Amino acid sequence: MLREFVVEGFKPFIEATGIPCAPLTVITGTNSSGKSTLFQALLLLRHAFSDSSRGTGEVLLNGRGLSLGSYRDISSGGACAPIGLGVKLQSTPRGAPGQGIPRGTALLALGQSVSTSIDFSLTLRVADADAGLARVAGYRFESEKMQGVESVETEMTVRESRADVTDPGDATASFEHELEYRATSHAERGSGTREAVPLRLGGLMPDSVLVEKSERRVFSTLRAAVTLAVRVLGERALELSEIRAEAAGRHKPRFQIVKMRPRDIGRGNRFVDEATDPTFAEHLQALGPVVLLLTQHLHYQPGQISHGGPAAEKLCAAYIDRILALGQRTAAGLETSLSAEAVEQIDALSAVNGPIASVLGAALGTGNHPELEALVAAAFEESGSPVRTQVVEPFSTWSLPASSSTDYGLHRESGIGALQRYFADSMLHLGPLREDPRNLYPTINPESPTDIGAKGERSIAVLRSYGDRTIDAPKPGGAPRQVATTLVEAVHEWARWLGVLDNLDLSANSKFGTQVRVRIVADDEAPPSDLTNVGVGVSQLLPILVLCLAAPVNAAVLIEQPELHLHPAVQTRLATFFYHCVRAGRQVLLETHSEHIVNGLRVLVARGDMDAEEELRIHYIERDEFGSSVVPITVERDGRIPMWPAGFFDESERVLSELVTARLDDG
Amino acid sequence: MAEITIEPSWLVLAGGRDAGDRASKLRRFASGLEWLASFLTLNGASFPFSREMYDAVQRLFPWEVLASGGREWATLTRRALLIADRHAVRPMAEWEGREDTITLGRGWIATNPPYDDDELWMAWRDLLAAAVARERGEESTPLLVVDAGRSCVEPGAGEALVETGDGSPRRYRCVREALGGRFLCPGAYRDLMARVDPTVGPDLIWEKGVKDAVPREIRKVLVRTAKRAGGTVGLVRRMATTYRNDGATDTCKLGLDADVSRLLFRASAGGKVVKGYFTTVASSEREQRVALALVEREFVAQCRRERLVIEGAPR
Repeated sequence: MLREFVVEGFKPFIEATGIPCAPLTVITGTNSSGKSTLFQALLLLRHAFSDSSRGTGEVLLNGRGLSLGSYRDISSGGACAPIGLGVKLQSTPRGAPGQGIPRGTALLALGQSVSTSIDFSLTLRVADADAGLARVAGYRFESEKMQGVESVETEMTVRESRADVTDPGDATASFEHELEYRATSHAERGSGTREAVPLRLGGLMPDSVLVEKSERRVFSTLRAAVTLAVRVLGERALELSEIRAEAAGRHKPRFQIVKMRPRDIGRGNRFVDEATDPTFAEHLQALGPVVLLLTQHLHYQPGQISHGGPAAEKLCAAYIDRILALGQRTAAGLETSLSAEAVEQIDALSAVNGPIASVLGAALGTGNHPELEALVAAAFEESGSPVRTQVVEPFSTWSLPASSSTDYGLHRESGIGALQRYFADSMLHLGPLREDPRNLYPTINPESPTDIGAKGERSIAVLRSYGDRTIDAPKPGGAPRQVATTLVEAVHEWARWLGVLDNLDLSANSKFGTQVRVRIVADDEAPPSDLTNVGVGVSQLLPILVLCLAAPVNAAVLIEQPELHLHPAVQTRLATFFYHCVRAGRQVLLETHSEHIVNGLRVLVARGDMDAEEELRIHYIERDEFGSSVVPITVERDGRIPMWPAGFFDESERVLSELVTARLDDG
Repeated sequence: MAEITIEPSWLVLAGGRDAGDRASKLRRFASGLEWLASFLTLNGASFPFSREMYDAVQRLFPWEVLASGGREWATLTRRALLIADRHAVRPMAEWEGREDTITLGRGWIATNPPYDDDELWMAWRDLLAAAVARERGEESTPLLVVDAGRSCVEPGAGEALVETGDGSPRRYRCVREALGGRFLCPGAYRDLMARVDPTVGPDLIWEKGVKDAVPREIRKVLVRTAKRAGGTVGLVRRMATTYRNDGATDTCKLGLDADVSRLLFRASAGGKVVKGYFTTVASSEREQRVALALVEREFVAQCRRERLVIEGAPR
């Protein structure tokens, strides 16, 4: 979840300004105060991670969903001043220790090290003052990870930090990697180990980072898997708690296994490898399905590395081949650990969807393959593991877009790859304007269920293409709850609950496109009308419903002006819709002028439905000659706003006071 | 400003007490509401609000609504609810839930109660709520009667007796405080604001070299205070600096000046101190105190935003 984002030197935000976020965040303010700028900052970050100019260290300021003009236009300090953008992300713990293996656990169990928090900031400088181009002047990345499974007995955290990079062209930055190990149920308490791996940074952009990261990724994934296996397989593997990757040289990579018994932690470690320790392979074999699944996950084609140069490619390929070779030795172990039926299912899924970890990630992320999750859980059970889990929800759904041109397998990790995935998959935006209603919507193929366009222009196409897809959607009425339903049915239900229509029908006209016909009142004999013949509000509301309902769990949905063309009563009810979406795991950020939405949220708080401290943040943006600043608005448990800043929805009170006075003076 | 709780009888300033035509009653009631809103805003006050009071506000005294049926009452009702939304708080827990067991000593009821007969007991319960809210049920503590002429408490009563369900009466000593003492007077506030021209911003006068020499935090505090005090432009006509010193670290402070139109300030940050004054539209000592409250509220808020230390506040 997005916990906070920071802007500095960006349009009216001259000074560093932090905007704390909650599951539901509302940004209000007068016109031109800088509300939209805050969303633009997030969109620019998203753009930086998906920019087609990646690898060059430059960021385009204009592109899909983003139109910022030139660098001079957006830098509050002028062309020579830097712009700072940052985000803080935090995973949301779900479930409690000892509650079995709920959804999401298996992903961790595969050795994925999941970030529990990420703190990232990016500094941009001008590349061309009058063109829409900035360059990455530096970035800072910190993450805290949870590796494997956090059990009741042990806890392992990896903290990474990367120094500011001032020259992404050829800088060599020290990558600090600190392993914090705490064994709470053992007499010994570990103080941890520290290693520094030199890492050449190729800039922020994904492909170049991929090359540099890939070797690290191999190491950290394998280490996580082994660490996990220690927990899962018990005493036999306790001798082996970490595999350490050491970059001994670009052309002589080698693995080292750090033998760490609990009592050895903090006393220095003995390094072994295949040559020096004959038990190496035996240990790996003992890891059973974990390592095999890991190697499946690392099914990786070196040729896909396209920007790293031959040397880096060779290096990376060498690492990967080595690990694959190690993994193959454990195949026999897998055969005995999983039932034949289970292996068959895994193979079948793998054949259809590619690398098994991708499938598993997708399954866990979307909930579409519960049988796979059950299968992994069964594998754990067969192993007799005393595992206790705490589920950590990853930032993104871990589901890979089918059309992805890059093998993100190695990106599925904690670290900057997780951040990239977050922006690619989980930051969704609906702009401040909506498309006009149409008689007929053209047939187009949206890339994903959330690809509705900045104006919602592809909402109907999404409903047409993905409307039958089963989703876990919030259910209107009563306490927040989720039900498995289709996207189109969920949209239909909420539109009806909000009171804008009674019936929604999509019919394909194969020659021309899709026609949307709605019936406004509950009258079976009344003919349905197309969207141009009913109130504009229906067409304005549909993109909001589609985006929020189709958004994956943990997605941040940014919506500007949700109240467009909606009656105040519908606006107030929208507050409840957003609240239900939040309870269904989506994060919603609104930029609004609607007092009714804010009041709707206050009512939810006053009724005790919504926890104002945990679930809601309201920010009022002020602007003066010192730039824009953020005033937090506190909502108390009774729905009251104790500090009511001047200008914050006080217009109705002021006007009513004037009206009363004027009327009585006339009388 | 710390929140205080006032006696709720302010809500019913124009009940059925006085004779007069409907228009004059409406005007008086509307005036009372605006007076109340000013009072609450000015003093950072809140009042306890009950379900019954909510109903009463919606109806705004049944006999009037039934008799008139006019739209003005509906407008006034909405205005009253907006005021309540801003300033009403729930009755304290000690009071809540005991509604059915509480009776009140009839001897203490005012002869011309501002509530209707049906709401009489409600008025007393609200009075009790105010008292309990104020002092958390300490029986011997004084009850603030803000306006003896309009209070539910008899003008000459020295104490209010409240009987609870178990038959044990609670006595509250009544204290009458003049406006302008503990509370700032809305009358002065209105006079002050009537002279404000919101189209004219304040003049900002910096001693030579001061503007560039002082930290940005101080500039922000002073400029924003001058422009936003009282929630409006024009209350402060001028901000001027008169003294600057480097190498000193001090706290920030705002105070009265002998010239009733002026408020003196001292702002300090980063080892630099700036002194000066705000010139307001106040023309009397009474208005100067109101101006001080309004400007100080903004001054303190801005100092806190910039993390500057305020005199008397914990560091």
